[in-house]
Amino acid sequence: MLKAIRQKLNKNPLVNFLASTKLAVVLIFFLIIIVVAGTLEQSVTGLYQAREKYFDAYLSFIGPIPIPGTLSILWAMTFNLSLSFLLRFNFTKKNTGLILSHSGLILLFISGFFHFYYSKESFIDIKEAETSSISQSYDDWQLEIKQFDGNFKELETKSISINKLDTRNIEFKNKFNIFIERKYTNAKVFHTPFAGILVKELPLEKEYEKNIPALKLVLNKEEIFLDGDENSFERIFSNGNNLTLSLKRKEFNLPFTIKLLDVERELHPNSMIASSYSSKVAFKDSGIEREAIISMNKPIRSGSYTVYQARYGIDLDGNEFSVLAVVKNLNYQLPYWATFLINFGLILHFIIAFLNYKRKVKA
Amino acid sequence: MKLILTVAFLAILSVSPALAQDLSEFKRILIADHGRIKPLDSFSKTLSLKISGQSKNHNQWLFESLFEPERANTKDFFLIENPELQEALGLVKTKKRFSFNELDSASQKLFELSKQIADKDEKEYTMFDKQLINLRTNFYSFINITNSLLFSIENKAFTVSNELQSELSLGSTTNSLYDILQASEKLSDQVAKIDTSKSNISNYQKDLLELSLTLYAWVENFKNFDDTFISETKLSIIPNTQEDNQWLSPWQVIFQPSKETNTYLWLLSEAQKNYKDSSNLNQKLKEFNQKVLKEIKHKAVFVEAEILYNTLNPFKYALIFYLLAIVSLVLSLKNKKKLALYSCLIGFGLNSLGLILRMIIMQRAPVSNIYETFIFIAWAIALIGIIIFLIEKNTIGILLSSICGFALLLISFKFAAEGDTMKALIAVLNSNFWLSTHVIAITLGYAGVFAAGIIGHVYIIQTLMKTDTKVLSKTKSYLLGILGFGLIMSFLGTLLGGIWADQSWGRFWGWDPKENGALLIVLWTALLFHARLSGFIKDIGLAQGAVFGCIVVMLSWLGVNLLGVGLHSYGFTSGLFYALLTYSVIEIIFIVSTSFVLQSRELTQQ
Repeated sequence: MLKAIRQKLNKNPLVNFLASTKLAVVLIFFLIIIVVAGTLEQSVTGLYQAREKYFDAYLSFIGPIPIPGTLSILWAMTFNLSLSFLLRFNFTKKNTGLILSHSGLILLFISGFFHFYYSKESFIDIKEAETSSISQSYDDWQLEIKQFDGNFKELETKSISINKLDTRNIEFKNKFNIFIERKYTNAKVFHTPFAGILVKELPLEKEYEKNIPALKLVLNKEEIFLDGDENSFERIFSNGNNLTLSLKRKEFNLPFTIKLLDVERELHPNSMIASSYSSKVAFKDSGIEREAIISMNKPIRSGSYTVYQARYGIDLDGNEFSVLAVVKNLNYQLPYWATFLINFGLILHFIIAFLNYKRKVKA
Repeated sequence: MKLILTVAFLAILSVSPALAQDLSEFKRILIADHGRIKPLDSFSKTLSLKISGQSKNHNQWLFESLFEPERANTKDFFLIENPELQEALGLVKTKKRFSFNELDSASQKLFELSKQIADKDEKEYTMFDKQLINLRTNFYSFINITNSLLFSIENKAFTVSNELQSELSLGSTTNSLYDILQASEKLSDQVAKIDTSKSNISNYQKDLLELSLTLYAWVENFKNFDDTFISETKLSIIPNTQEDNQWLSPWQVIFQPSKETNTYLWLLSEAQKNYKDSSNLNQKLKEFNQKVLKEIKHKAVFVEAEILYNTLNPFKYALIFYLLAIVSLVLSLKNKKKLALYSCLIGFGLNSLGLILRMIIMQRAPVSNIYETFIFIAWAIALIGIIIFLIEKNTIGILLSSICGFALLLISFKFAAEGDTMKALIAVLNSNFWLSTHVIAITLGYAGVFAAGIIGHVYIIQTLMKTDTKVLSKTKSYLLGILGFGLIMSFLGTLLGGIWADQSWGRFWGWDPKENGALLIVLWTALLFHARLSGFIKDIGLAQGAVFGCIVVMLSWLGVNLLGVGLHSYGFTSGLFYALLTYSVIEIIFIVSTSFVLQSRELTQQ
């Protein structure tokens, strides 16, 4: 039955081409081009922008030349490989290794797509003795506008992600609006005594999360400047409207609470080179609290969340702090299985091929 | 065989040069330097290499600098090769090495020139600027070293009268700072008895006051010597009993004395007094070393392994034997196969010994920096070649082993000359499990694909030389096998790296340059196999692709480090761009030109 379907489909030139090794070669070639271009781009613009341009894109441009982006190539590879699996692979003992490694590859692609479309990466910047159940986005910034009545009772709150917008009109229920006139990806707003408010646009940082954005807003012909600095906050009274505006990193509520009990750093003898650093935390999940150590290479997991030790430091007041990376990933185990399948398959194929070679030589 | 024995004999002779003094205990003294506990043998080797560009008699040099600094100051030790720098400092241009005294007389100019470039961005440094900064650092390091044991050296300033010697219970009339410090309580008691209001004070009392003033001046001068001095080079040889993982220099111990650490100072002072008498010197230093080992619970075997490693210099001799194998193959010497095989095996054995010793010393897999990847890949390719020879009895295996072993070890010396090759690991790399799995696998991947490239060269040359098709078919089989091995190890290493990244940074894949480099090797080898399968390329295309694979490996191995971005910051290097470019251009010329010749031949035949 399967054989008949295979034979029938194989007669179709389009299907034949889509399942062909030739297409696989072309796709690998394109992937090489895009990996090279994206890697070189990183030294100029940094990882985030190179990723946006080449690796998280369906269509990319190398200079003026359009080429398929990594996502398109990977989808096409998955399709090509799956189809080839259905139509071309010989399911024989001799091919066991190849079958296993290629099925591992499909699994790896699937886990990659899962991660790309559904995982969330954020971080918790926490000082010793502090507790937090909120993490912040590395790159997603939000403009939050709260409207109050005369008695400071909150009427309406609007949170707008500013990452992928240039200009936008924000309308409120009682028919007033705020217009976002300009977004600065990395800038600082200065309130000067004589020259008024100045915005200094800064060059983009290679580490994208270091960029602090700023906005130019217009409310009743009045210009408002706002940047994402920690203490930046605007309170506005205009035509009877009582508003507060802030620009901050997008926040995520976590299903657990972390209290940083202690940060430890071990140094190599007589040096400032850290041999390890770790955070001792009280981890409260579903009402149960436990003490745990998060250290380099040893994260803690809770459901689909994983918490990692990302950085360690001492702030200007001498307080020790940890930056913990928080990743929400539904399928973190899939790449592990894929790794096993691919490598087991390849090693098996290598052994089979070697034994065949020896047999041939003997004969 | 005779040739091998001769080389081995010469090698043994050269590893045990006649020393002026028995420094067997001196070189075993442990020091905390750049985050690592190591014997002075390694410390002196690195420092000597850094300052003088050579490590010959390095222990003798350090010993002299510590115990007899005035003599060390007169020896030509500072390497200044650039005539422009020599001229700028007003030094005679007839030699390349200068003594400290010569450089000291030019120190004013050295500081003035250093000031001129103080505001420059490091990226804008010219070669002259870099050499100047380097020389200044070396100058300070030397001063720090030669002053390290000054407290224990007899000094004219502390020469006392017989009366004073007797009153202060000093062992001699000529003393060191340490001797006077030991008698400081008595000294202060005697000084307190002097009534300075009286105009007539005795000569004895004058001597007492003079001695206490000299002592005060020295203490003031050296109080913060090792804490504030500009050089990082410190003789931190005394374990701090109060704080874990902290080591003190003798000067730090003098000013923060404790019962425990005082014994170390006494032993050093006694060693100083006996420095010309090897037996007594070794006795005191042995006591010193035993006390340190007991204090830090360090096993002597690690020290011995490092001393053995430094003494044997296994990679240097492995290189010589690999070269001998190449020479015997190329010159078609009598019994060339046997001679080449034995030379190659000895080279491989020494290469292995070096790696094993490094593993014992560092207690981790020997692949944590660029230098180590070179010596490991040399070993891995040599092993691949030897396996080919053992299975197939084909000299192509020996050729592969010896060429790659020789070339890669030769390049590794460039990195070894940059300083200590056993640096402390940063936190993220400090995982024996991942170093032994991911890094070993990816490095074996580099080795496999690179070795396949070398076989690719052989295949192309054999095709050009119209070699027998049977031989060609064999070479192709090796090429396919090694390329397959390279693909498996690269893929395994890349995916294990993904898992490590997932454990450390929270993501399996982040398109970091180093990750992309490894991926490129996987993609390139996969492309070759699939292109061959689909008929895009034939055997010669596969060989040419394998040769190009060498460039891909080099870019992944070294090239991406030049970008200086990404999370793998511990692998960043600089200064290799032109070397890589030249190598890549040469390989491309090889591929294009041989391809042109083969095509022309094909057209002629048609």
